[in-house]
Amino acid sequence: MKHALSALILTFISVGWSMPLAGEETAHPLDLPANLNRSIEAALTLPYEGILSFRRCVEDSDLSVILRVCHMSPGEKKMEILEPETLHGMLVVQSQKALWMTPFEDNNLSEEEKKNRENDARSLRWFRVLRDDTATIGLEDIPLVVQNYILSSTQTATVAKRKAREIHITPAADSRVVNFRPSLRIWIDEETKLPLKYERFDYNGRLEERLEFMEISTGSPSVSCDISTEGLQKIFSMTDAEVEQQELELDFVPFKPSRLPQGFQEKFSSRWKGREGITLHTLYTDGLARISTFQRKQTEEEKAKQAQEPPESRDKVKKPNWTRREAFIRELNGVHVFAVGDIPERGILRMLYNLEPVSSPAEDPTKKNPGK
Amino acid sequence: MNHLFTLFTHRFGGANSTPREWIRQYLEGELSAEAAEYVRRQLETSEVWRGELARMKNYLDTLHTLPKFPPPAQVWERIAAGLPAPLIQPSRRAAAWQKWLPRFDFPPAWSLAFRLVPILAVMAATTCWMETSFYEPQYEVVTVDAANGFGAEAEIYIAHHDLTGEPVFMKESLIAIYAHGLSK
Repeated sequence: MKHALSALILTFISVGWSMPLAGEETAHPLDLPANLNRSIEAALTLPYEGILSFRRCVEDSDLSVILRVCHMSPGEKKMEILEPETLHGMLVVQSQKALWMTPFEDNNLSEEEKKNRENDARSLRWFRVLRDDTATIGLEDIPLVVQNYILSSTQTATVAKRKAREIHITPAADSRVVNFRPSLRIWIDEETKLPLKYERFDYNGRLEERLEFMEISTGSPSVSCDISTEGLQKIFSMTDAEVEQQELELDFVPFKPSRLPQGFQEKFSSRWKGREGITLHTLYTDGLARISTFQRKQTEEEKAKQAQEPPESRDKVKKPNWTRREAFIRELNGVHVFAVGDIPERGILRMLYNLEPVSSPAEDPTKKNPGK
Repeated sequence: MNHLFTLFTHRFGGANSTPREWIRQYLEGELSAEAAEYVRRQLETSEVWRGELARMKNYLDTLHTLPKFPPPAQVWERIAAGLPAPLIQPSRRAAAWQKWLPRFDFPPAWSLAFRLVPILAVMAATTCWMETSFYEPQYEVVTVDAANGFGAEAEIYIAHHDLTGEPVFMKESLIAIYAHGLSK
């Protein structure tokens, strides 16, 4: 009896020890993955029109933009920039599998106005329209999100005068810095499931991006906008990009990391021809956090520069000191590899120090996703 | 281990930890070198211990002068035969694992602590192993500045990374403004 009592108390201690982990996985009455899924579908298919505010906190400064957005159907979207003032009235239209916009060059502007406009446009490069994902989560990523993150929802709030459910996507508890991950809060319209707001936090818990509707109307009867490309300049064609990718042959043997950070998988690869040569972009994700590698053939100038470095540091990973991002370069076997990610540097360094050449054409990462 | 345990039990008030017991074992040469040294130090400094030593020596001397008789044949069997049946059954011995379970019903404090120590040590060792099993070398990084001529390209790569959510380059993104509309 006494031993049974002792065993019982020990069991209690053991269970208590592991309780904090198990407690995180308590089932929620709401099916949050299903809610997230419906939200992403709504962003793709639901007609909506409204004023959208986007803010990105970059290092020491904040960048913000306000737009009037009109979404009619998948692949058709119109945005009019309201702020910043220097870009007021510019249109960006997505139609016919291409991106169109008001010609950027304007001869009526003074040199100073042109310069200001360029600066503001540069800050806009972080803006991304709501599309068939919700704040960087794709439909295909939901199983990974569920596997690597904890979904929770305890409250509703009002966003753009609509009742919205707040969903938190937070990384599983892990005290090791190497496994710190970003987190996300999404406010989903209770009625239509359209994502009305999101806040993305970096792996240190610092606010990185906020996007929210200030006004919105939804549904076909109340949404109608003229999506015309007249007078606009085609700046990007998805069809052309797809054709270009199929035609491009890599002129180097790419590398693949033999070790990925915990929970990560390769998502896709794409290639394009840039000023420095054909670049291969590979994206890895754990559902929310992402790591990109960009590989291309080393230029002759880079090779010569590397040859001048001390032998002990030639193959080492380099960190550019002009960015606070987790970005690194490695030059190996005539290939220039650049990696940037949303996770602590250790995970990215682990990848870069465990690169292996893709030995056969069958293993060429871009062949896994033909047409992409 | 045994003498450490003995020292430990003495310090924390165990049942057999009187000076008398120590001194008896000391005189009969049953102590380890460390424990014997401990007793020697006590004898140098403590009047109580010295008094106890004198009494114990006297007692043992007296004991050794007593005549020795061999025990009668089969004495133990005869004693056992005279006892009631349940008492002569072998006592139920606790299994080894049960001996190591801490008892919370009526434990001496030192006993509980002594038994909990290895359990906590195993838990701590397991935690350490889990941490160190993922041990990785310190990855070396060389810092480079913009002078290596890679600044603009790196900036575009970072922008691509920030904006890419789909497997098509620049789709639906205002990076197009940056990449196509502006000089790099």
